[in-house]
Amino acid sequence: MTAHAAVTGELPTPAQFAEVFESIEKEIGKAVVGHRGALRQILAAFFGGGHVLIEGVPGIGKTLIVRSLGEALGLSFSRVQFTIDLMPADVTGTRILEESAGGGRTMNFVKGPIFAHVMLADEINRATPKTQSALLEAMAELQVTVAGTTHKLPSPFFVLATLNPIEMEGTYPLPEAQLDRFLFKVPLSYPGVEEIREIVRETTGADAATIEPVFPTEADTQVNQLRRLVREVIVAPEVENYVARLVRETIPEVTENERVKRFVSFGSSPRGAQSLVLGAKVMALLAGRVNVAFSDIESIAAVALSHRMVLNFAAETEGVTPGSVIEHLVEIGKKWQR
Amino acid sequence: MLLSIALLAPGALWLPSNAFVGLSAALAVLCLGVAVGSFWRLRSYWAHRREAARWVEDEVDLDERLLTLVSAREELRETPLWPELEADNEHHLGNWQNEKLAIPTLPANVILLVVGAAAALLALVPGGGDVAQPPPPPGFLGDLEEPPKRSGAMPTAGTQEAVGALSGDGVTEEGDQGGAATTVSQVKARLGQQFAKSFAARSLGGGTQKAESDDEAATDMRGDLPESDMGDSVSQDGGFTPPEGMGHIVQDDADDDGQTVRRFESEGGGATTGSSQGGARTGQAPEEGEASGAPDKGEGTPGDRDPDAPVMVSEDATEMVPGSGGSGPGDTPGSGPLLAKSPLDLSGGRRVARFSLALGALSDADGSEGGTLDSDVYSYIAEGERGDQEADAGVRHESIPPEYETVIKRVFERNT
Repeated sequence: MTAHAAVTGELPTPAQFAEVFESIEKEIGKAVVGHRGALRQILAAFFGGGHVLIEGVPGIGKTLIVRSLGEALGLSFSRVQFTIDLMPADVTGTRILEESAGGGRTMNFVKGPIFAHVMLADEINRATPKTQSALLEAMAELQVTVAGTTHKLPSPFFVLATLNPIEMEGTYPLPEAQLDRFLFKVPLSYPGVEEIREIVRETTGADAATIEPVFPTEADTQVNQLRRLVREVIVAPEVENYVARLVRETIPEVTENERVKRFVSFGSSPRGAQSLVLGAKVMALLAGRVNVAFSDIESIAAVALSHRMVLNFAAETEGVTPGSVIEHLVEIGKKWQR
Repeated sequence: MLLSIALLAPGALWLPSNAFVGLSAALAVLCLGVAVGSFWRLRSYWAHRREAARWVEDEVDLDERLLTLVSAREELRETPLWPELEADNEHHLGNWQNEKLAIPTLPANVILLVVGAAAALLALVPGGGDVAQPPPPPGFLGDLEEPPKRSGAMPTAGTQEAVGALSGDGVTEEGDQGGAATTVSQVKARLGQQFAKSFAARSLGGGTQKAESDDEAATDMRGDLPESDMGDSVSQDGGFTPPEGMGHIVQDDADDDGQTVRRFESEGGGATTGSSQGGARTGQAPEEGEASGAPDKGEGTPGDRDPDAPVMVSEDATEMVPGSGGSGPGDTPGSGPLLAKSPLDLSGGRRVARFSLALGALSDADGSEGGTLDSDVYSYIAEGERGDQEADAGVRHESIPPEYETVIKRVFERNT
């Protein structure tokens, strides 16, 4: 992406988008070993303008991914470790009384860690719902209100929250309404043998990996241009119909699918359709297309819809996961594509 | 369609004119329907851009590029990426053609077209010789198809009134009848000649090779045809079986040459019609020295009897009287010389039977032997062959003329 394009506000080309995307992947790959698929999905959510919830056990590189992303983009980065005693003001910021040079006292707003382009909310389920909701409001509105004053968050704003699936005692699982605000929920799996060997080799040596920013200057502007390009990707009415049908089929009250009726308590909201299309647009650009294909939808259906579905007790007892239900829907949904 | 037409064309030889016209019309309607349906289906594919794009997307993996191009909303055509979409489609245009769309250079329907044309060529186009123009269709052909209508009361068998009743309807007007039959024979002979000269007939290698003249070819073709009314034997399945007691009937061939047609009828073996010399079945041209009867029908003994010997048939026709010449049910020996000068013809199915006996033992009025005793009757048997139930009932109640009964008794007395 040229500086001229950034200055003049011209829309970057799909080729430029793909080039930037690959550069970011390459830079992050210097520090993060493996997780290629998850990394691509995280970047897709980032350029799609959404937020990502990463689910994985401790020590598999969640924090490293987020920090590396911030460094590679050349954007501001902050990290908050969510605990049970974390207050909303600790995230959003608060007003403090300060003495001025003349001896006067004024209430000044001190920005919290949320005022960064990329924020890592580590183990978000360990904070109280009050704190969680403060963060999630900021994610949705891209602004925070403190003491009656609204403060705009920097753009681009990207929250990457992590969720520890174990050690659930003393945690506050995110309500469905708050989970719905995440564009994707990306599971991070254990690395393989080769990946572990490479992790050991890369992280225990004398030389630490250095991540160079992809955007030397005006990174936020260029990222926003790329985000605008994503929004311009064309979606055919047939693809829109397919997305709507897919999301609709996750709702047990309206679907005719026996598997959904049996295992699903609550289906996806319309936000699920939005996340499907936005993520698919990024995937289309990465594939060198300016139109969304059915395959783009299929490739991100699991990460876009799984956290929006609530399964019932029967599903838990039979080991049915939201991902398996979505895979089933995608499989039978091929007939809706024609 | 061409194949159907090619198959239908030779069928003109066998099919009645009405059936042929009906089949031709049905085939034309079918062709029209198929053509309209094909065009309609083609239009549904290509007249609607979205359907066409769907079809191409099914054939070629384009990742919905073309579908997006043709189905996107109007406002999307003003977006900055629309030119990119068009350029992308043009770039992938090469993938839509040739091998990826799997459009063959020679479609399969063209191959079918060629095969159909070849079949039509074999069946319809004369392979050699002069093809004569077919005679004009006789206007009275349709009338011949009609069965004779009866007027007045049911005629009584064996009386002149019976003949008169039929003659009154014009059925027995032998001039018109003979002319119509001749015309029908000519038409059929022409058709047979056309087919015999076609490539198909030559490639089949049938008996048409023997045909030296048009008449002979037509006769041969008729001989190859399935049993029809002209040379039919009532012993076929579904045919009329006369009641027991109807030994035989000798019919006049409607000529003035004194020839008679002898019909032997029995309960089990059916009836076989032949000349008084036992030559050939009626309506079938006998070849010289060749038994042209129907050897697969009946169980008659070979015709080695004396042509002048009297024919004696008991009531049970399968039981032959010794010395009666060996004629029996289904027996049509063709070894004897012909008495008739020409093949006998029952005038296209219209038969006016005359009870007649040609018995050598009889004395004529002038004292010479070999006279005949004739009695014209209305032939219920002939009516029965047409499937007329009413005539069948009439046959069952038909009475034998007294003079005929007297002659039969005399014959039996002399032989015993």
